[in-house]
Amino acid sequence: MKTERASSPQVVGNTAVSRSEQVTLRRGPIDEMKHPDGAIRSHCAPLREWLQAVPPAQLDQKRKEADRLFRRLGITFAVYGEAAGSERLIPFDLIPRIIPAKEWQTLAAGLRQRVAALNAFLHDLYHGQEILKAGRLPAEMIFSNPQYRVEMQGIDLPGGIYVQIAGVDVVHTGEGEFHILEDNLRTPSGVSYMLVNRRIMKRLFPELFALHPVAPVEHYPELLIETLRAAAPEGTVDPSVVLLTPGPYNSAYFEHTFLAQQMGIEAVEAQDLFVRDNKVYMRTMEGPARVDVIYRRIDEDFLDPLAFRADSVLGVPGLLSVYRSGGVAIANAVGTGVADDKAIYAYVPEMIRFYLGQEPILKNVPTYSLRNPDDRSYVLAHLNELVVKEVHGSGGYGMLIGPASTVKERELFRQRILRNPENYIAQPTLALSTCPTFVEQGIAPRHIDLRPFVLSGRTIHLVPGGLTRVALRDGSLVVNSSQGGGTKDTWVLEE
Amino acid sequence: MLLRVADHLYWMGRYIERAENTARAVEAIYPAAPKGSLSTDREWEGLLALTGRRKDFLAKHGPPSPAKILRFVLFDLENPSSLLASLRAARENGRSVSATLSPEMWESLNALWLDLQEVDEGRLLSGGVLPFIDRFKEGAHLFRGVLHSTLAEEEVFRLIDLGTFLERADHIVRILRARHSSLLREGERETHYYSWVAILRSVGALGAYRRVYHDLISPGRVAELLILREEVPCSLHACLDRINDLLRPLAGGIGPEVVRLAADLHFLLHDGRIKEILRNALHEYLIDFTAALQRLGEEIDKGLRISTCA
Repeated sequence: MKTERASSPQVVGNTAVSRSEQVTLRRGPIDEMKHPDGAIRSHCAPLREWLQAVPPAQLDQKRKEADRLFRRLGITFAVYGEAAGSERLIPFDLIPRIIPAKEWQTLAAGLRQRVAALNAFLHDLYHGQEILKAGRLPAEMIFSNPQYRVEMQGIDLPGGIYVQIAGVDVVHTGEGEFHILEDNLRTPSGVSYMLVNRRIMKRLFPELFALHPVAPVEHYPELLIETLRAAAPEGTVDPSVVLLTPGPYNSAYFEHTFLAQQMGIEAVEAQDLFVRDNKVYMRTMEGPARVDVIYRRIDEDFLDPLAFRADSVLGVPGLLSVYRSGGVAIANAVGTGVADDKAIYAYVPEMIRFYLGQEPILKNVPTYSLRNPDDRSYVLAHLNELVVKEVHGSGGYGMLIGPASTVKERELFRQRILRNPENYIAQPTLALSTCPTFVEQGIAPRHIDLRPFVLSGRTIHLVPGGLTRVALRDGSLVVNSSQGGGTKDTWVLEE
Repeated sequence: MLLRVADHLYWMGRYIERAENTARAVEAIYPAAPKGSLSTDREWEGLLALTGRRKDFLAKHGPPSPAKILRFVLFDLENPSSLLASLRAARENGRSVSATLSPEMWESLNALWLDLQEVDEGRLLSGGVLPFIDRFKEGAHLFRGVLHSTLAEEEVFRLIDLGTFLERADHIVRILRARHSSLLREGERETHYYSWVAILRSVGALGAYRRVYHDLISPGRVAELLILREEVPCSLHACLDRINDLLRPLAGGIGPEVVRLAADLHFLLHDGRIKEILRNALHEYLIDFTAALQRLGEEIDKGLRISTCA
């Protein structure tokens, strides 16, 4: 592989970016509702007809009603850096994003394949490391990675599963063509929006559900509790599952209590848990109650102040030692972050080949690794065409979007890259598909992505749908809610 | 149930009741009491004293006026015992246990807060605050109704009710303390009649008084009704009856000391005679009662916060 890299300045990750691929990626975005020639896609025809018939005033009133419902449910979101107590809504767009059955089947198969490979990779990495021995992935990328948790080495997890819940970000880049953007294997959030958006759409527009065979997503909490119970330490009878939340000041707190309520389990904070005799208990009115599975919605650095961050007040002292000896299960497992950083990302197709002996169904975005001198010189010469991301960044922060950047911003990034090249990757800008969206001037196309949630228990489950995020600013490709993104209901059509 | 959840439920109950008590206390003197020898300004200042925040008020607003006092006790979010601040605290506690509450309960509490926090207080203060108070009371009643029609878990009721009745007892004692001197003026009907009525209205007991006594309002009976008559829900005796019943099954979680304290207090009321209480200095009796209630509250807090199991 090293020789391959050296042979071409455009070799990225372990996949050469061919000229044709570059061209593909620079092609204009596809419109979810229309063919390139302007004709309406057949699966969108009923929605389009309805949209043209419904009076704008009525839609406006429905929009206000949706806002009221979101506020009433308390699905508000605290923005970092804003005054304490201020609560904002993530904008909700009334026009659904529709995925035809065929496209979803491909997507679902690709997602299952990908998450299966990622779980196999994590198991291998923390056991025999066959993939490193086979030279299919450079070992230094693992051992220099702070997300690699040496304390997980040799620990056996039930079913060998590390990632119970993955929230994989997918973008629709061409006819029937999807690219994976990120795997999100730590504490992916957003599934409550998938569920609540659907509930609100059904309430506001029951007539639309009569026109479309929309596949249900409402059983997600049941699949989730089944998945979490399957993660319990071997031999546990009727496992006790809790959701561990950082508390009411966390921006995803609504989701935490919502899921706990839907699953009928406790939403615990770290202060509710304690360790005794190598077991985990929660403090209840009836005395200590044993905990078998922790669905953690808290970063692993804050799980146990004894193991990770002594300055943390969030953790449960001693939790990690119970975990390592099999006294409690944590989902997702500790140490999954090593498989979802943006540099390792480039090797997921290789994982699929190595562990499953299959060709990847879904595409990776070609990724330049700036630790590699050839990639680096190419990227520095083409900053205005590329997206540069921090390897461990998230939430759309720490990112340079070349085509939308100023000379000054590019210079700033050039210096950052040169100072710490391992910290960055670069990718071609993707043509994220667009979907009709309500904006101030009426209805206009806006870029969207999709986050389906993949559950891995005894089998892999996936509800047909996910969270569609939409970049509300004209031309923007950033869909993150922290940066002005909104959400839409996602309709997977049944055949 | 998690101890932390129990603590939030208990405080949610207290804050809802506290907001209701403030609403009742304002209603009792609003619009200002009918003319007579009563100074209306004194009524308003009595309201201020009732909240226990007189010093804060004077520091912030200077000499009191009815409009300033109303704003302070109803809308001022910086006054932790204002109606809106209590409602906000109830909602924050509710948010922390929204996984335990039914979705309908959380929604009704959250909707009430959203509805009331955006009112135009300037308009209300010039045009009358009773519609605001009515909206709040309706919402609070709806919340209690939803609680009873959507919840299955006995323990959730118990903790919310425990907070409710402890807060109610505290309010009754405060009202009696604030106006205790008028209760000792048996013969001075002309001067003190409206003060006695205000006491009854402040705890929502005017109707109860009429049903129990079918007679003229007399201060001795007002004291008897609010302290000793266990058949009306607005008496200290009734509150302590409930607190006692609620605590016994919770003793394992909260600790036996709490149950003992509540039983002592209950015994005091059960065996009380109003003539003796009035003869032996009502004020001291109320001060002792306040202290005992406070100790009970502190023990409950300790039981719910300091875990006995780790």
